[in-house]
Amino acid sequence: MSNHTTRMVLGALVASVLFAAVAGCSSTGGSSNSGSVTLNFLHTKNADPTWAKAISAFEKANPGVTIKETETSFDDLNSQIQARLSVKDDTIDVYTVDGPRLANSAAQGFLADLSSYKSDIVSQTGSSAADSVTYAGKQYAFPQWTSTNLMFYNKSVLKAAGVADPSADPASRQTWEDIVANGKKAQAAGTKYAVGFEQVDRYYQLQPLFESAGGGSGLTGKGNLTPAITTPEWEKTASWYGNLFSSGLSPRGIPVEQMPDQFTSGNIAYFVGGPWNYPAFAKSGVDFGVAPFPYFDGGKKVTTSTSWTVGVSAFSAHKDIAEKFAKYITLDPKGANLVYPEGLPIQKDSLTSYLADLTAKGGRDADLAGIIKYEVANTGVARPTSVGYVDFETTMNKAFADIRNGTDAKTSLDGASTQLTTQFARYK
Amino acid sequence: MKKTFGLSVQKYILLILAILISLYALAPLFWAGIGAFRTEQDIFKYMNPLTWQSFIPAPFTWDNVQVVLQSSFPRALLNSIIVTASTVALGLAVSVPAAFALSALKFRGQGLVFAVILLSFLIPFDSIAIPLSATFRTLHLQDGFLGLILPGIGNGLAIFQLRQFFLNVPLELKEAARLDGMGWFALMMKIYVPLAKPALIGAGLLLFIFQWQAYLWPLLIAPDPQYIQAPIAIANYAGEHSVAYGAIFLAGIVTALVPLVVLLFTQKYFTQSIATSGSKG
Repeated sequence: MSNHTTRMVLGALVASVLFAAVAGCSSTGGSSNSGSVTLNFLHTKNADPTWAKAISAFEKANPGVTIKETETSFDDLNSQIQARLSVKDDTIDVYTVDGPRLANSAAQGFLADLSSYKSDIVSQTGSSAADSVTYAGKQYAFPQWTSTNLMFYNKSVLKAAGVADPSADPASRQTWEDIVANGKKAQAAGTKYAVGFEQVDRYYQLQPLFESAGGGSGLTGKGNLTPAITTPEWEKTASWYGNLFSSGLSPRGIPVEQMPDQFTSGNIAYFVGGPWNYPAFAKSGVDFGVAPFPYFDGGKKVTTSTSWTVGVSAFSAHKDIAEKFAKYITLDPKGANLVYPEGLPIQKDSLTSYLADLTAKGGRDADLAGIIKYEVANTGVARPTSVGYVDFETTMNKAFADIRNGTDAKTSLDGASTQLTTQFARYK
Repeated sequence: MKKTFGLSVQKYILLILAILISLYALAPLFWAGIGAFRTEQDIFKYMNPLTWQSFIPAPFTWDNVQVVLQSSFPRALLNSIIVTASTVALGLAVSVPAAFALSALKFRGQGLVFAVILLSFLIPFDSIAIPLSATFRTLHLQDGFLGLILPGIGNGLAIFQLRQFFLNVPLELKEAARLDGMGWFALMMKIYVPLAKPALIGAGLLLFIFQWQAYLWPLLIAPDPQYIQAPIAIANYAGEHSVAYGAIFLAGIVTALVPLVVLLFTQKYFTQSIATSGSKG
């Protein structure tokens, strides 16, 4: 046995040294070789091969250029960007930037200045989209998508409760007061929950509630570095939101990722979510319709806006070709049209053809197209631009989670405001 | 005490209790297991209230198997096996001489070296991962197996465990071998290593678990899809707007099976090594 063990250990030693040598040789780090260029494109993992067709077309039009995609989960993207670019990692050339995080990335010097493309950005995506990629007067990314939110409703559930379907016409948009009253009727008729928010504790989807009630975005002052979340409008709206959960109208304890399944399982009468849920809902067999995002009686009609943008790393060794590629997949009518729309296309021709395709299908798809077209043009409100946005979103998401779990709204908002004031002090 | 079928009533109660606790502990795993064969829409459908469909995947689907097989997971699993096996082999190759030097040899500063090694495994690896990844990138060790393997090799806990075991080797054996003219390397390989099989397996398992569970490090140092590791591939099933729970359950269970099989074959030695290392005589 002793000889056997000795042989094993010696074998392991030799094998591991050999392996390490091989592994060392196979390690890849560089990106260019004899005139050819490899660009590393880091983005979130999507359900479909979002950029595959556009990449293939770009590579064909630019011989010698290879685009290497690296996917990471949504939760890991920002931490990976922060960790790698803070040490000036040059193996990221192009990466997707979440709209409201752009200011923070730009302030840290992670993003290349793309101001020379400003006129292209405005002409292809509009001036409000250009504003969303602007920090300190300079443009730092190309807008890829925009977004909106709407209300899905379960037709069978409403029918059983004797409640009429809400209209898909934005001019006949329902109020939150109507939704709660009708949702209660649906609950009385046997549905588990009246109302469900897809992103139960994410600022992105809850911002329109506060905007509709006249509370604003929650940030104000120079550089949006002063919290304004303890106003009467914010407190009243946060209390209303908390009451949805304490009164059993909305489900407690279900994370964001599982909320759409609650709707497809028939447990929710009215469901607020993004259009990205549409294909899965249609596939699930649930009998549903679409309606515009509700508003508070007497308040403003507001929906969400902005989405992902595509930026070029300030540390890329191939900035020229990286900018060319990032521009191709976002602003170029042909390139942008080849990108699978994970969000709503923002390049003007792509959006037109996307909506035309939906409208042509008729029925519920046409309703969806009508809602998107109206909301993008009229009611979308961007998240506030601020170097402190990441702190703001993180703090607010925690506050919303506390509120839905039963913490008093005023207490929670006061605590968040104090915390944000301390955090923002370092940016001033 | 009254006995039924050779067991006392007390033992029956304990047995039933043990079974109930085991079922309670296994329930989430069971739920994930059957969730792997449900359609995406059905995964959370039968949680409340409980029905027969809560326990049986009906309708049954192989879709998640297809999703997992067509994703980066098979490559990631193979990569994880390569990285972990290499870490165990190289880690033992480093830990054994280190532990031997700290137990069989006597040299100036030995206590200090041992203290540094002790300290090294008390610092959480994640807290140094980001600055360490910057150093690795400077050395062009990113996106390769070597960069993934290296941090797992010098495992202070493995060295500590082996040292404690080596300290139990009778002094007479060492002295007799030295008197017979045996060199230090031969002493280590022919006397210490053969005696330390349980401790070697225990240290090997420590190295194995460290690397198998690594998440932050591969995320930072090897983002290239060619070197993707199993935990990262599983996390990638979570998109921004949708999460492929069925695929996560299936890939998660497959990933858990590997250490389970390893532990199944080595648990005897592992408990033995924990029990004997550090105890004198």
